Amino acid sequence: MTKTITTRRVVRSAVTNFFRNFWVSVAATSMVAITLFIISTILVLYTLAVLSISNSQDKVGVITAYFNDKTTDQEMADIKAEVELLPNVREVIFISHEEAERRFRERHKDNSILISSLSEFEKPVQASLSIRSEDLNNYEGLYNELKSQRYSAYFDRVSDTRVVIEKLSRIIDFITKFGIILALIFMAVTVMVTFNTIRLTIYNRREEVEIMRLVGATNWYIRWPFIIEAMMYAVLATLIVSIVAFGLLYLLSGSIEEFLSLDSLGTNLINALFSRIVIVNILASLGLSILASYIAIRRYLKI
Amino acid sequence: MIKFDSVTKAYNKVLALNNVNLEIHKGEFLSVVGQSGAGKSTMMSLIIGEERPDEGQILIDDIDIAAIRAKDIPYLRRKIGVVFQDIKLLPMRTAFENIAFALEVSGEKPSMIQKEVPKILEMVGLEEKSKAFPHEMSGGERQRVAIARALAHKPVLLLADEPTGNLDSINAWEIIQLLLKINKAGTTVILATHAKDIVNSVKKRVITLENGEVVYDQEKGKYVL
Repeated sequence: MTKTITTRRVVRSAVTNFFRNFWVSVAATSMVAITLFIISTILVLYTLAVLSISNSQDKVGVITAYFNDKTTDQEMADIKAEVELLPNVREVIFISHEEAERRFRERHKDNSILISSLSEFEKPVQASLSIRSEDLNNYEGLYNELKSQRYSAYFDRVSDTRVVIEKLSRIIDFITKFGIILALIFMAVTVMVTFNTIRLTIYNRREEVEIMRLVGATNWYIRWPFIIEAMMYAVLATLIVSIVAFGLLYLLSGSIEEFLSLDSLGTNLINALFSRIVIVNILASLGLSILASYIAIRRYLKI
Repeated sequence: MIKFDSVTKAYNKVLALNNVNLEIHKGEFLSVVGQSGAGKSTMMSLIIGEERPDEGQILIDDIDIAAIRAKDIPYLRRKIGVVFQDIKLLPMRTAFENIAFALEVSGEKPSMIQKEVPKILEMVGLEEKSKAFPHEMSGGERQRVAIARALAHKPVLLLADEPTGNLDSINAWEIIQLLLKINKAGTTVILATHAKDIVNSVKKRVITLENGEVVYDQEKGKYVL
């Protein structure tokens, strides 16, 4: 009973103080929120990049060889049959001009200028062979075979998807390094701002603290309101950033799918990302705020 | 009740108390006099555990204060009421709330606080000022609220460090009368003061400090400096 009463009084004291120094509290909360927003952005970028790379890795075994316009339909059929017999080939799919054009129109249906320009060419989109190798180790040999002189008369170009994978890996690497550095800088700034806010609060309440000591308040009765106040910055900041993050994820999911050539982000992925953001944010903000307030009270609150 | 056993305390190598031996009995009214810097406030700080002696021991009911763990000091302070010259009331709280504050921090129930605070206010003669804020009261009334707050935990010992320092003679005398009344009810009172007239008219034990040493200790003493 006594514990409940004391807890209620400590929390009330923290809440009163939060509103008594309203603008200082707003500044501290904003700083925590900015840091959380940066952490969330990094988290989303990282998750999507990893997702994208795994998505691309599925396609890495597929080499697309584009026929030049001089190749006849019969030659294309012969080449397909021949390639099917090459070692380490698992599957060969022929995509005709018509099918390639249909897919192109479907993909760019919103871009009327691009679609209308198709009529300018006789065969605007090339026919191709999609060749899947047995496994990634055979990829290079197969790629070199298709690029060899034997096929150079028929194929205009042969795509090498390894470049995409390497590029994505570099992007992930950059996001990870840059993100971690940025997050660490903002975390340090957040700790400093929260630390200073609590120090200011301790200074503002020095008379009250002194009287509390004199009348026999326990150390934690004096300390807890400051820690709870810092935790309030954390919780409020998490709430704000979570709402903003959910809104942005919901609004931008379509564009993200298109940009990263993902089939669909789906509601599950948005939910998973959102719950990850909330968990990381609450842990980071509470951790940083408690750390900052604890350092401040250890240093400036004489008990 | 309180025993100073060869207590020495220095601040930056300047001696505030030098080898003080003193015994204060239960129910006593003791005036501690001396010039500024004589060691009166240091003596008070040592009793409430705010400072620790460099040498010697301070025993309260045979318990060495220096041996009390930091986390238990608050419980010691609930047994010792303290009043200061600068009063230290919370300006945004009424007289009632200032006294209630002392009980709140020790986790007392609201019902108990509602019952006890009016009794304490009555004891210090301020039942009419229950809802008054510090700025609405005279210096003497504010000091009585501070005494009431010091009494909230029913302390066995009341320390009054220059409680009349900022008051006119009439108000000062009223505060002394109140301290005597509290002492009569059984609480040990230690009064640190400069006020010669007050010490002389109280006719209780007086110890005189000079440069951190006890130079006089007289039953029914006088201010001799």
